[in-house]
Amino acid sequence: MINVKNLYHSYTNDENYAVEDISFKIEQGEVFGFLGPSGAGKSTTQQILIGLLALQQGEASIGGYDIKKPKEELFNLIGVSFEHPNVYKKLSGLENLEFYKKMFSVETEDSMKLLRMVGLESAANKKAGGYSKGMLQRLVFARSMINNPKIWFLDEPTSGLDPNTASEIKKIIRKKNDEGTTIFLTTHNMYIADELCDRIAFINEGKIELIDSPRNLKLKYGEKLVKIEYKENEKIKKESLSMINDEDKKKLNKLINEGKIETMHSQEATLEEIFIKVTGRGLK
Amino acid sequence: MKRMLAIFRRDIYSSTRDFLILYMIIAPILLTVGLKFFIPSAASASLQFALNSKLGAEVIEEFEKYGSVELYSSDEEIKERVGKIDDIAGISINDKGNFRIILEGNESHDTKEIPRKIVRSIVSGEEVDVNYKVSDIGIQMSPIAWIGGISLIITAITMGGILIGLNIIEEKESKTVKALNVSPMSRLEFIMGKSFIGIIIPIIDVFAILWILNMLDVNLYMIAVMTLASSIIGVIVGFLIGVTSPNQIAGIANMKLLFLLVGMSIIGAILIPQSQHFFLYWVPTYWAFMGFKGIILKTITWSQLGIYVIWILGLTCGIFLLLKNRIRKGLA
Repeated sequence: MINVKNLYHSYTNDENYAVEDISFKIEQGEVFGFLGPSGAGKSTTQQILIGLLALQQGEASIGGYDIKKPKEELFNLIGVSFEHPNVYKKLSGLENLEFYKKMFSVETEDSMKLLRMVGLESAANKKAGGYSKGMLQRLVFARSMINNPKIWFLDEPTSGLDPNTASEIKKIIRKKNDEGTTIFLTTHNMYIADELCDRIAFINEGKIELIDSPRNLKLKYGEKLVKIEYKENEKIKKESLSMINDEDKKKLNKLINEGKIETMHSQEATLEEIFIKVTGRGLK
Repeated sequence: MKRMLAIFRRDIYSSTRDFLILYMIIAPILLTVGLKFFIPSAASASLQFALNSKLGAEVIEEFEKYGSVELYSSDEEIKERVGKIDDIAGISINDKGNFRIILEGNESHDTKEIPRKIVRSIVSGEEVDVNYKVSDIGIQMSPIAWIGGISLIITAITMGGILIGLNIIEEKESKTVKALNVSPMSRLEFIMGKSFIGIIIPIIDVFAILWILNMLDVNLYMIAVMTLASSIIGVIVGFLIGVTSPNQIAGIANMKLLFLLVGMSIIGAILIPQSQHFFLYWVPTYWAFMGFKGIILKTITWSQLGIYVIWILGLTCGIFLLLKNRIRKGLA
């Protein structure tokens, strides 16, 4: 669905590249996460793919369309949810969607249905200028679904949302993915990437450091530890035991057999820990 | 077309929400009403008489030698006419056959004195001593009326452009232009859609200005053609303001600068001798001014008008091509 080969981009038109030699492929129906700290090159890559930045060097195609010469058909195929809420503040939420709808030449979604999906039904006729940051974010998210996109670009879709709304948004993303939508998710939020993505790419200083599924990354880079809480002499004790070390394994077996364990959790490495391990810097 | 109309409608909605469009339409109209108060005294350069038709053909013919004559059937109608805003003297005759001059009281010297002299000459049979007849060198309209009228027409055209500029700045500030750029809308559709408002406002305003100034007796087809051609100048001005201004404040600052350029070309066309007008040929508003001047003073032919339109379109196209990349980047 998305094919990127040796992509370079320089804002200064010299060899000071914001993204450098980036290549990846995204299959149909896949959720692909672009994970990296601010300034790593996530947004630059996304902006090139959606046509907001010129393709200077390299090749890229979306849904079979070369993005160097983007056609109307390509834009009918994609939906973009921007990180910063870019809506018309003087228009209501409904008017924003109704206006945007007219830009497409494919079958579009019902605007009220979309507003209902993101919990903005009651504010549909209120001017967007009176929306909170979270509401604006949801409106931008709803707008990105107006043309039933086959390829969906999401830039920090849950940024600024409360946990309940974020959970609703994640549900919508999963549902759309189940229906076959290919998703390109740009984020620096490791939890979102972990929860939603089939594969993730770690991008740092304009280069892709690795691409793999969250599970494989955890298995490859994480330590196999079990964190337990158990009772001993009427006191609760906490301990992390290795699942590879023989002594730790024996101790764990003993505690299980004696029925002393109160809580037990496997301790996989988080994506952030893996990112730090791979790139030497954090995700902030 | 669907997208262009959607963009146009959105701009109208957006501009009506804060009454911006209303101000832009009303401003030139209010200025025209203001101008109308100054015109009467200037219009007195061309004398006007409201005559009672009972005066007879001979007297009416005598008055027609000195100015324009309006005929009324009663003194009441004459009084009503004299009471209107412009300078006009009423002349009637009573039952005893004596002439009556009806004045409002605030008329200019000529409007008061010349009818008296004409009446005296009719009564006494002497030749009337009126310098006015000699000084009329074919001016059919007060310069204040036509210069003021054209200046307001060009202001209205620029207002349409300003609205385009402010709408583009709004798109840039809210970054909504990015959302449009990832939709199937083409840049040409965006430019065309944004331009409509800059054409419609001048058309409404120009006809309103002409109506207020009692100038609707001109060739209205010519006015329509000239307004359409000149509104392209407003559109270019609007896009220039829009793409060069990062916010509304900067937009207003740039607007002042562009107004200065527009104003200078009009002042230049009035003050610079005709032989040196070529200094102004590069300014599209100069051609708009000359075109409207010809139409309002009824001195222009269709072929001359065509030449002015070609100049306007050629120059605006040239400016657009020069700034094409700047506009493209500004809308990215």
